[in-house]
Amino acid sequence: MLLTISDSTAAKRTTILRAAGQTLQRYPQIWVAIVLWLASNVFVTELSKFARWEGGSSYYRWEGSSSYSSVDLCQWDCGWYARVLESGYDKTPRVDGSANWPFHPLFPLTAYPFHRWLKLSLPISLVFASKAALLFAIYSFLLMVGHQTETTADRFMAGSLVAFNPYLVYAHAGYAEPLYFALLTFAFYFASRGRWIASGITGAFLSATRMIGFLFSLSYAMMSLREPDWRTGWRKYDLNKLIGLLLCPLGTAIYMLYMYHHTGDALGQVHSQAAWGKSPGNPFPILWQCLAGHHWLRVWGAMVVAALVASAWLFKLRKPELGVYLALSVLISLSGGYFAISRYIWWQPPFLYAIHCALKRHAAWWVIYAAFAAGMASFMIVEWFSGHSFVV
Amino acid sequence: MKGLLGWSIVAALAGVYLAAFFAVLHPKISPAYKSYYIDRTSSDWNPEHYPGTPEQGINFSRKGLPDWVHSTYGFSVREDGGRWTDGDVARTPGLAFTLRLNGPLCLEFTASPAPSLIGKTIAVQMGNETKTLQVLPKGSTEYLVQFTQVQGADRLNFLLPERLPRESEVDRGSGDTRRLGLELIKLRVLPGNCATTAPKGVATSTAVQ
Repeated sequence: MLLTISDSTAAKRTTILRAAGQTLQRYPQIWVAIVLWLASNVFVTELSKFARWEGGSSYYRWEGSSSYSSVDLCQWDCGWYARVLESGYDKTPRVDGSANWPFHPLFPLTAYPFHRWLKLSLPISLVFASKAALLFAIYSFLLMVGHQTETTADRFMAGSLVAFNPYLVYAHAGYAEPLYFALLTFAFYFASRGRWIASGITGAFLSATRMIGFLFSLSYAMMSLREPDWRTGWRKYDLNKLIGLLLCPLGTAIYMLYMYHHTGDALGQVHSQAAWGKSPGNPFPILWQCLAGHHWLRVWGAMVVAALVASAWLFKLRKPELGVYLALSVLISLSGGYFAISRYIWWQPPFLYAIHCALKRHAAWWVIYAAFAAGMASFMIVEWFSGHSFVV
Repeated sequence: MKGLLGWSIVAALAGVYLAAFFAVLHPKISPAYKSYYIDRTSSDWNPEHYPGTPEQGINFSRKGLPDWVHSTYGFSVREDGGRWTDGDVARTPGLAFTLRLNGPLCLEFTASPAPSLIGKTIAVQMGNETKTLQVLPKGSTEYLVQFTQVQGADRLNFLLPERLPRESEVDRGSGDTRRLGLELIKLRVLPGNCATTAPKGVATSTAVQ
């Protein structure tokens, strides 16, 4: 009897393992993403260790709910997300005028299970949430470039653009960047396959992650209008396309209505930037200011120019939906100031898509890119733990 | 998704956007919120007021504002030394009073100029009178400005040159991109003539127009 039960358990286990093996074989993007995600975690942990030897900081330490240490993995925006997760959105601005309104709700919601159910601390929950989102970001990018990646080596190279992003630290530091990246990539992927409702729902989640996500509506509209059915009369028009389009900015709209109900200002997330001295302006003088400046200003300016060039190139590659999104998202982000513009650029799927296409055409450039990405990622991790404010 | 259900979803979603549009057009906010966050006419959010008179003046490095100052505009964040005017925040920096000032007044203020402002002519405006003065080429300087007959002044404006350069443009190594003008340290408004009201030992550093 005992032997029979044991045999049946073993058989079940074998069946599960075989099914899992078949799934991974059928969808190689899954295991490639998992391997790259693990490697990315090892990379960041190791580099963080080196940085911590110098800075005396810890990986996850966070000194209580009201104190945000400047030398830990969870700092800057992670601290703001922690405030959202801990006590919800501010009803009124704080004494210094700041408020947690610009930090959209979806990312802290993904950290909720870690904090409430697994009883992890706020910083660890947010760090884990961003790390988990990174796995999906890698996977979604592999799906996005699937038609260009035929071999396992191709997939590893494509996935490494995300897993070893020059601004990789933000994927491990309790920021919304990897979630935003994953959702936007999935939204583009679904739309490219004609799955309009899925794309619209993903777009809705995207716009609840970062405000700039509402721009996907424009890319969506371009992709859906490319299909010929809308020209053949409204009776033949696929209503799913319209519903998907209306779903895209839903996250932003609902958050605006919530802000209106909660604070009285539907655009509180934009207006509250005043406390940080940010106000929407013409992005081109800001770009000129960066290029005319020195040190990091010029580096950031060069990155903006690279993103705009990539955007133009995406048009040439007949990917106008990606090009439009990249150009507008960079210019809108830049209009509020140049701080953090580098991470906004490097966590844009269309930018990495353009880099992937360029490296696919010129394989020899991989060496140069890999050296730059590894060096920049390592440097940013070390600086992150050194408490420099330019990493914000 | 076809037919009635599909169009019902479209109508519901359109309703959400109409509601959001209405919310944007009809904010339920205080005037103080509007002036700080939206119009950007105030440099302080909901400042605490402490007892004080125009004669006692305002110390710009101190948190909050004295009773006689309603709000400030065109200033950057408070620093240990004082507060810089920033051309990006407002073209004309200044103070809004909670009372109206009349009669002959002596404006006394201590300020440091940004390098781009040294030697330039600026003006201060209170009510119906505007006085020009030369910015001196040294650090912290006390300026005395005589207003002969002010009528109902509820604001004090510093009229600085337009399009001041950014600090990063003047000092290539600086990452500061504010359009700095004057760093105001202290300011008082005294009744009467500067010659009689100015404390002993203080030199009148600028010509009074």
